[in-house]
Amino acid sequence: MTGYAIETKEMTRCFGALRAVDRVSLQVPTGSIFGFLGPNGAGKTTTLRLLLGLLELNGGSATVLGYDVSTQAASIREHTGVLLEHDGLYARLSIYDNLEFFGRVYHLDVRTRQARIQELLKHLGLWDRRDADVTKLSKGMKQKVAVARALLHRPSLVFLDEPSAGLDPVAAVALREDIQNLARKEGTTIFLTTHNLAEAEKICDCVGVIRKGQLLTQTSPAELRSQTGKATARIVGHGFSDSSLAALRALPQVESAVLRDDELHLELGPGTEIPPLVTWLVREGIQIEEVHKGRGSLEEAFVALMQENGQEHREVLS
Amino acid sequence: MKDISTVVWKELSEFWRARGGSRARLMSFLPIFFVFGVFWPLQGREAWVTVPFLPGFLFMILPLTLAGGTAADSFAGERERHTLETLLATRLSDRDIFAGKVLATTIYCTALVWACALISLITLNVSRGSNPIFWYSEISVFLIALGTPLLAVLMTAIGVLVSLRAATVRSAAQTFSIVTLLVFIGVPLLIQALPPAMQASLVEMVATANMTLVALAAGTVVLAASIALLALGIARFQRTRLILEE
Ligand SMILES: Nc1ncnc2c1ncn2[C@@H]1O[C@H](COP(=O)(O)OP(=O)(O)OP(=O)(O)O)[C@@H](O)[C@H]1O
Ligand SMILES: [Mg+2]
Repeated sequence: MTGYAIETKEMTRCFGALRAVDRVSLQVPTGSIFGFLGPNGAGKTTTLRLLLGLLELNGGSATVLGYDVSTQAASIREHTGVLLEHDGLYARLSIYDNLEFFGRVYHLDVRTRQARIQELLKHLGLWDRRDADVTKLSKGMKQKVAVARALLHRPSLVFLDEPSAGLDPVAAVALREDIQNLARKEGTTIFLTTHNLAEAEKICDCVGVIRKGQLLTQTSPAELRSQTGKATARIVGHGFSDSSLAALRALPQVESAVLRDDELHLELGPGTEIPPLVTWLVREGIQIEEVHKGRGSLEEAFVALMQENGQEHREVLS
Repeated sequence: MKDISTVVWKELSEFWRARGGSRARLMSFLPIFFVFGVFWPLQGREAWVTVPFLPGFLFMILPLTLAGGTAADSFAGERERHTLETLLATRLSDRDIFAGKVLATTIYCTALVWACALISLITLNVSRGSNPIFWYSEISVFLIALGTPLLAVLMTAIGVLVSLRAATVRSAAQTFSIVTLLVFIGVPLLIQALPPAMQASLVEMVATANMTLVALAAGTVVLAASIALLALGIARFQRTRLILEE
């Protein structure tokens, strides 16, 4: 086996005339947390289904944990855990029985099963509610149970399709930390799809961006941000005038300047230093109270990537 | 085998848990137990003793009416409640999932009939007082012991086939009732369409035939039909196809 938990070459899947996944070549290093980003309908879920052998490829090839998706999908499913679009929990069964079922599915013996369920539920703060029917749980709790289910049999690879969808920010952060801790502790490779770029930025070692079935780039979050993200600054002060704004906009390093109440929002060219700008503003007679320097967020990088033609970003690592 | 029994365990737990708290669960079976175990035996006390096949025939109503709906809930319900894809993403094979579900439905219906048969036995013997102990005739024992699971498998197979493609339990149940209606209306119509001479000989055959033979023949037909339908079901129960029909 290579150092990659997932490796695809020109993987393609069509639905009629639509190329839902179009010649995607990906490499996910073993032990990493990989974030698969893309707008709605980009082909994220389809990619995941292909990797699990739930859909057949129309072209190209892919191996997961060294097994071929077309011929050895059963072995892939044996060694992976999933949280798909829906939590997939049996609403009529209790939390415990749901996990019990999947423990039996993966041939965990009684002792191992009990110990593992207890360990995971305690970790997720759900042990006291183990006998509650799944219907009676909040969305966040269900997601947690589903994460526990995905990790139950200590799979070496876990697929998570938008794990934090529908969660409030606090619950999303908590779940993210749980996933991160459990993955690190057990050395599990995680492949997660998400729209939440802040999330991807915080936990992923590596991200891939897909749009209209095509992989635009595969890189680290920091790299992606610096590739396309803009530097920004927010300056709070008094005495901004139309003429000073116009002069500011005329500066070569300033790409845009917008005044909202007493806050000046700047978008700056790559490598722009802030102190000279502050000096310049002071000379213009502006009284400055606060200066906040922003790095370009992954979100901006993402939007920029989506807006680009995409042509120059298609030289994927292959 | 282990995987099939895991699926059976899950399905039976779901059937059981679907009926609310444990008190509510027992209560929900009471009407069935009352009708099949108390009401009918008392109503037709003499007939139950003198017409050998009557109890057996009556109990067949249960698998006929219950199995299809239960199977529809088991297969289409999994899709409707969005658990199908996760189940298909596990290590379980298509065959094990399919077999486990069919087996669970069959066990459920059979257990219900056997419970009713037992209650009837108690009811009849208690109500008959000191008369000789009542026990089912051979033909009824045959129907209860073997006919029930056979018929349950057949109805399950039909239920599975109509619900494999159905998005919801409701649409599966609708198709299922249309199919069973067609069978119930179609068979008599077919017989009526036969030439009078053939009809007469058919009636005569049934009237004079040895009931054991008729039951065996019917059993064989049901078995053959079940095997054929199940084979069709297995052929169509493939995860790469099921996913597309989400
Ligand atoms: N079973 C199917 N039949 C036909 N088209 C499909 C099917 N599944 C997906 N598609 C199409 O393939 C494309 C990719 O869908 P996919 O579900 O992979 O997107 P996604 O990136 O997961 O989107 P989202 O963020 O909304 O979940 C979409 O245009 C979708 O309409
Ligand atoms: Mg999706």
